[in-house]
Amino acid sequence: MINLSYRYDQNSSSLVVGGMPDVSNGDSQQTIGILSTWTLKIIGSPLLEGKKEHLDNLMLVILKYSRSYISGIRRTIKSANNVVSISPQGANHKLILNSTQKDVKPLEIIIDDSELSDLTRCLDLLRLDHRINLKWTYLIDKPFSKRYLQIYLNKSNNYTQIIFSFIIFIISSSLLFLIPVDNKYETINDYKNIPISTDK
Amino acid sequence: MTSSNVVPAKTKVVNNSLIHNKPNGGSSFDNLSITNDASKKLDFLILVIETLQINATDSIFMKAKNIGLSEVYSSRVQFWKIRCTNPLRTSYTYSSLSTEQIDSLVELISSMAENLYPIVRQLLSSKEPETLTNERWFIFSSRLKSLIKERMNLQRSFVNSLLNDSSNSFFRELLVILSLSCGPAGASRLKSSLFYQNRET
Repeated sequence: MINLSYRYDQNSSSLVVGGMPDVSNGDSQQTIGILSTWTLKIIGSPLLEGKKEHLDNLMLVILKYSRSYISGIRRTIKSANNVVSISPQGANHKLILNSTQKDVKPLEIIIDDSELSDLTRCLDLLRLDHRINLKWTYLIDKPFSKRYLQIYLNKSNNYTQIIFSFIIFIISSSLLFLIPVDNKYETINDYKNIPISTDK
Repeated sequence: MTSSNVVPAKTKVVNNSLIHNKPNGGSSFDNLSITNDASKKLDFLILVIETLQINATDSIFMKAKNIGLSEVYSSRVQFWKIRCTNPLRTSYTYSSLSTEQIDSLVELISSMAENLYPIVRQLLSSKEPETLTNERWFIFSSRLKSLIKERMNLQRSFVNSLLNDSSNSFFRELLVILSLSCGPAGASRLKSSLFYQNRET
């Protein structure tokens, strides 16, 4: 049986996948149809490895997070079974990997923006590689719904403008109360309307 | 007269068949609209490219020719007109971008970002020596600010806030967008961020 191995390098990240063609699926000799191993090395963090499901979860979480991040949304993204999650931590991002084995503590990796884009590019290369014939959960980048954007995008600036305009309106209208009312105005008019008596 | 950074809503329903490069078989969603800040975002991304590369306009035209967009970018005036859809520009044309224009700009930005990725990465990295990073950021931000002063409407509060912002958060945001626009799926990712779905599918 042919064992194939492909490597995807991007500055700080290096992803290696190994497997063999799925002959029953009609794969060519250069195509990986059955994934047997994968390893991911991010500089400054331990070597990651696992099953195909783990790589699928990692890909789903990272690509969803990057998709949100490019739209200006920074929010925690978790895989369905909570094996992989990524959340913003200050200017960086915290990647948490929970082991499926018992008594193994979750692994936390802090990555910056450049490492996130490296990792995203690595995973993009893998999922779009024609030599890999595997089904991934994350397929395409979709635009978000209007409602999603309204919920997660920071609209504080817009609210600030409304609040400021309201405060200015209140202050300017309350200033009008300080202007003294001319009480005599009506009296003078009334006085003028009184017909002049010519009795004398 | 006071001016604000609020941009009038110019939503436009587009044909979903134009949205994606369809890397894995195509998209299955309807009723897409262009986001209000799409033209602003694209123009600022080109401005960042111009900041990072000297004579970037020539490179952009060369790149457009290489990727088969030479018809759209036939002249500098045409390119300038497209960029003037950014409402923050001094020479704002009160027009909006068409889907085809967005498509071509996204392709162009993505392929230009690919060339500039090492520089973008250096600016975003927190692992580089701090003094070196600060120096790079000073050069980058001062150059970008001078381009903004030259081309944007300084009476806009948003433009003024960009020029006075010492944290350069918006510039960093643009660099992040540029870095995530690289690679085989970068254009598709950038393009998705410029649209929204009117209803969830």
